[in-house]
Amino acid sequence: MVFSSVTFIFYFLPIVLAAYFLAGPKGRNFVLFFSGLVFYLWGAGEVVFLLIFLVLLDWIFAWLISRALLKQQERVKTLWVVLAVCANMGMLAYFKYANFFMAQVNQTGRWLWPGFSPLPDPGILLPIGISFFTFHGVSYVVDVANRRARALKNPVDFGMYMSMFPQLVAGPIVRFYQIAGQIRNRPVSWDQVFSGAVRFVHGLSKKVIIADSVCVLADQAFGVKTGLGAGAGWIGILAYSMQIYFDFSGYSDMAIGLGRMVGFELPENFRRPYSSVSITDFWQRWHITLTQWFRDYVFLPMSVGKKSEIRISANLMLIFLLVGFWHGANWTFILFGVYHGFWMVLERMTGQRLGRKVSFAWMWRIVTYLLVILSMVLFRAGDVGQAWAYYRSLLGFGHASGSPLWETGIPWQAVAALAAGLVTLFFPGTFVTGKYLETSDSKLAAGLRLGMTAGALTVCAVLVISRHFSPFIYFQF
Amino acid sequence: MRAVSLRMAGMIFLAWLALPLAMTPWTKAGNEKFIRDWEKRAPAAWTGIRHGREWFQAGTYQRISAICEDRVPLRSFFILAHNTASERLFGQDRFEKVDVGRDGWLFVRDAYDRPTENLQHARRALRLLDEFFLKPGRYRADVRVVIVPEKHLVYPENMSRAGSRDAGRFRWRHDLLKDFMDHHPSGKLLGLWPHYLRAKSRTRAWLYYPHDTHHTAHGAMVMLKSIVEFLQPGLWNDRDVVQNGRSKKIGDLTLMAALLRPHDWRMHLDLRRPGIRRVSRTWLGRSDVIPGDDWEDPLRIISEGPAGGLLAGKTLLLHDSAFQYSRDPFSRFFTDLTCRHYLDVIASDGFRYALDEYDRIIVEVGERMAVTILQNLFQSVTAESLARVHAGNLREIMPGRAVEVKRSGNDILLNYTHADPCIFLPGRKVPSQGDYALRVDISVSKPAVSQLFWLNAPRQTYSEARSAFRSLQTGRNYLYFPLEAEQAGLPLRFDPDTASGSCRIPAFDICRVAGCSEPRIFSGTASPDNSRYALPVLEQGRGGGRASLVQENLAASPAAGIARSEAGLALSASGNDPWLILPPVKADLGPHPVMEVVLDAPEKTLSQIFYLDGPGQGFREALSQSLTARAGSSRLRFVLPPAALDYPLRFDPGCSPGEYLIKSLLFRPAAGKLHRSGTEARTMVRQIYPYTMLLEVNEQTVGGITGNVQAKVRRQGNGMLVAATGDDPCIYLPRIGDFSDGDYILSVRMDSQRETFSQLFYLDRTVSAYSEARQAGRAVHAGPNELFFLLRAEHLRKPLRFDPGCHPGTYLIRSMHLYGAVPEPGEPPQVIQAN
Repeated sequence: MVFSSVTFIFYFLPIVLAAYFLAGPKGRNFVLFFSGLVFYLWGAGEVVFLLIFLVLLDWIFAWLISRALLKQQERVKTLWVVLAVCANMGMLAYFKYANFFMAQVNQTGRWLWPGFSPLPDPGILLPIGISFFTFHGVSYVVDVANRRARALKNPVDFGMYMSMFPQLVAGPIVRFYQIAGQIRNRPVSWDQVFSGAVRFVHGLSKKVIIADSVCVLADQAFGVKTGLGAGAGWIGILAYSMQIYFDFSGYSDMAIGLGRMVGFELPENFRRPYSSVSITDFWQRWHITLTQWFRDYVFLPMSVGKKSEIRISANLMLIFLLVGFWHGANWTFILFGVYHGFWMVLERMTGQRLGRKVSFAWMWRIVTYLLVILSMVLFRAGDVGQAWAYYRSLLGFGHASGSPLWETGIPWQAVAALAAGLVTLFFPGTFVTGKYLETSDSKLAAGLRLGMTAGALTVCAVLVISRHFSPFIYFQF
Repeated sequence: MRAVSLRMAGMIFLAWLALPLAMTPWTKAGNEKFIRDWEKRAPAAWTGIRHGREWFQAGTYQRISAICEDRVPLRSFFILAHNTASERLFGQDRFEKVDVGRDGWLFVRDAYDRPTENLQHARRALRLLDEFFLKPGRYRADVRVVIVPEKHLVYPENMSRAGSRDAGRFRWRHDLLKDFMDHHPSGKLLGLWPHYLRAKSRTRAWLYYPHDTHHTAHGAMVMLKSIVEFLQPGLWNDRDVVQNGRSKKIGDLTLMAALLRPHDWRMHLDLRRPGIRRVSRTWLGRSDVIPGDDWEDPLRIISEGPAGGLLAGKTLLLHDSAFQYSRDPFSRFFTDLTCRHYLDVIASDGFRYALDEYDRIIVEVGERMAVTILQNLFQSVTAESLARVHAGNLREIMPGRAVEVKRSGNDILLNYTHADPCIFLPGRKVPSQGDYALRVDISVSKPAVSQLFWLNAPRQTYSEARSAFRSLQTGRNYLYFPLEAEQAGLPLRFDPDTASGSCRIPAFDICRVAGCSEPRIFSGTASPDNSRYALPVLEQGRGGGRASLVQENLAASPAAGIARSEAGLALSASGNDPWLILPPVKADLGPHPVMEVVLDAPEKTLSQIFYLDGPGQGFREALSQSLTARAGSSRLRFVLPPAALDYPLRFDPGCSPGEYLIKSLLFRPAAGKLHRSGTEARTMVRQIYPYTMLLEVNEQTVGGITGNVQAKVRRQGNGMLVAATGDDPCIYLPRIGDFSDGDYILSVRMDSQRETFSQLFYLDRTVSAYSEARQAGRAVHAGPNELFFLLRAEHLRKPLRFDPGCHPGTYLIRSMHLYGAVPEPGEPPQVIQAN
């Protein structure tokens, strides 16, 4: 089930909200846990048992860890932590990467020994959202082990954290300690519902009005096998950069809004990433919860103590390799990670970092945006070959035989959406629309809030009801 | 300010959220009624969860989501708003299958944009048509083909730029058809395109509605006039056309695209031919009109008038939607006109039957569907080679005096240096039933006369009395010499010319002609009680739910040419989405019906079966199953939900182009017992099964049945034997009884010794004598048959008369079942014994 679907907006959400408010404080976690399972069952079917299994597993591990902590058995605790992390990561590795590794083994085998008989393709289907809920599981056990939070006694409470539908399948990745205090005790009020509603509508508009419209251009450009012209290529990559940003940040806004409706303050995931003045800055603004997760649970443990600059750079490179690989089992994602890691290290070495006041900020913003969108080719392309062909097209070596973008007439709706998306590039770097709409007390903000909810919601309803199914891009990760 | 605006915004959001649930009636029936009443569309059928494990299948929830999405209140209006805004604000000119042209004209993109069709397909279709007209007609009907142009060909100036470009890309199809018609010598083809263009230049009245695929009343009259003049010049008189009203209607393309368009005013024209009187107008043998008179339903109109005023004989009009409102006016020119949708006879046995049943057949072919229709209709009645003599088996030819037979490339080269050259060809054993011909593909360098001699018995000699001549033109000629089965089995003598010379012959073929091969029955081999499943009716391009406002019908065009061969059903797929539609099986095969297909695939591929679980739906991935088919032969077993058998099934043999061969196809319960289904595609098989059996006439009840002087009735084994001594045997069934009003179906299972024609006569309140006006006829094949007759309750109140055939011989009636309307749920089926 996706947030921008008829089933979710007009059937699932009203029923869940009604049940949540009718359940009373004691039953609310159960309502969220159960609704999360239904939400997952809806899209993943029997894989819901995997989620339930992981919930039970992590809950037991956390319980064992907390017991070891009580008894001050450091080695036992470490053992449980290692086992828990291995179980979660093993699950992720099996479901997400087994196919890829088997293919690599077969390819390498064929390359080394011509008579090599290939191993059978495991044909494992990727459970939706596994990259997110395994990270949640790891976060829980590590936070308990590090005494950042206490283990939950009630498995329903923990199940609710793991399966809470706003963040179940595409994040934000909520580190456990961030919301541990809200699990048993959180305020629920109509004002929060209303505030969450405004945020939800904001996200819905981003997804439905912008992302789903510009995807026409991106799909056409990336759908061309050969003969893509440079102009069409650049339009396609611009469109894809807008699509992925508005799609994912829209989803995050909806998740934060939904979380707020049920009393949770979920962390922000985006902060105008295309206004970044460097790649380092970009990763402080793009998919913030992912980078923070890697920072907290991978990078910092690796960088404990005084490390040399080379070691830190190597760690940084490794982290971005993992970030890329986390997105998918494909060489394109690995290259994506390496590309960003390279720029991060370079910026670190040249002193071009976040927080430093830069002159000619607009110029750096454009440069950074160009560097980012070039990496989006790797993000979108099906394989390295396609990505290479696309890069050639961008440089004018695509042997253009026509412009497929205009083959079926100019999609003005998509062009308008692209233009609207690009306008945001020129907003001041500190201005965040969602934040302004939520917090500003000005008349303009009030008018915008009302107008957006009434107008945009109507437009979104028309589009959601009349359009075909359009899944979120990040569901595939 | 912040708090107030947040609250107001939140309340707006909650109102939106609650609206659908608040508006939708919570009962299933109430919800459906709401959608029908408000949106004038058929809601997606609700599918329940039948098995426990379905609770944990993602497909179940996809299905439920699809239903929720379809059933959200006022969905059509949202789509309307979206499309209208897209068009007005962003100038979008494409809405699924519809192009928005200039001045708001709408065109259906399918009319020109059929990417699965290619030149090869079109040429094959035309070759089949060509062959059909060129071969000797061993059937009764005079066949005429009318090609109806598409709207965009008559009004190209109203198309959008994108539409013009797309149409230009597929212009070759129109050019090919036009060129073929212009140069075809048979004179049996009529292209209406120039007639429309002429009419357009003469009148300001539109020939097509701007917002509809169909032509206006003016356009219809242009079409009728052209056809009537084509059939018999001088019969048409412009003064007979009268206006008989106006109506307001929304265009079908407006509905299809969900766009805001004004209603079209529609002028109605009629034909009032002086002296022509209608005698009867019947649907499926019934004299009363079925409510909701649908243009796709078979209609028969009998008229009478002064001599020369009507075209005599039985005429069959095979039409598509161009005749939507023109069937009645058209009937004013015929003594006996039957109008049927072409799909009703597209199964080869259907068309063969029609060829022998009617004096005249007019086939309306819209250009959009031309390739598909021609290919499917005429491949079944063109010659099928059973035996071939060619350059590879040259030694089978015995040359006559002074004739040299040698190979030249792939051809046979005959050189003859004396007059009266001849060669002898071997005979080939062929089944005794059927008509055959020797087809000779021959190229000569000068005009000549060829002659074929045949024998009727082994020891005969060749004589002029048993020979036939064909004149040859310079160049390539196709010769057809009709033969009986016995003649084909004996050596033939062929004289290529009367003088010396030479000729080149790629092959001699002994062909089956005047119809296709016998309908091939697919049979299983698993158990002795395997029953057979009739060849599926091909329904290429005919999606369900035409009336649905929201387009969820088949989006992809079929990419399969279909042909029968001795080995099975051959599908030639040119694209990666070939499919064929199987008619509903309508049988109770237990909780796990199995469809078993033996398929020969050209390469490893994915076969897929699509099923429906409710009326008014289109096929979609959510309701489908896939199995991998190996390269070569595979046996695929699809376990279907029981409800799937109540609706058509779509079978995709593979997902890549190539030649597929379906060797057998059968349905059975998972336990192993197999089911039989009806074998007559053109009868009302589809309508029969929702009915419950009410009456069974079998060997226990023969006593209530009497025969006339030409029919002696007695019990034999498990049936009732009717021994016919003349050509008009009949039996009288006892009065069946008083049933409540409604439709009833009489099913007769009967074995016949030969091909013949059965009739069921009935009486109603007003008459007490049997007559041709109250009867229904069914063609009977040699062997087992199952015949269906539709009856009303009043017909059952008086005795029925059944004529098993129109030839002397024996007819074994195995059973007669009367089926009534489905009882209310929970009510057990009622079985009434005759007597």
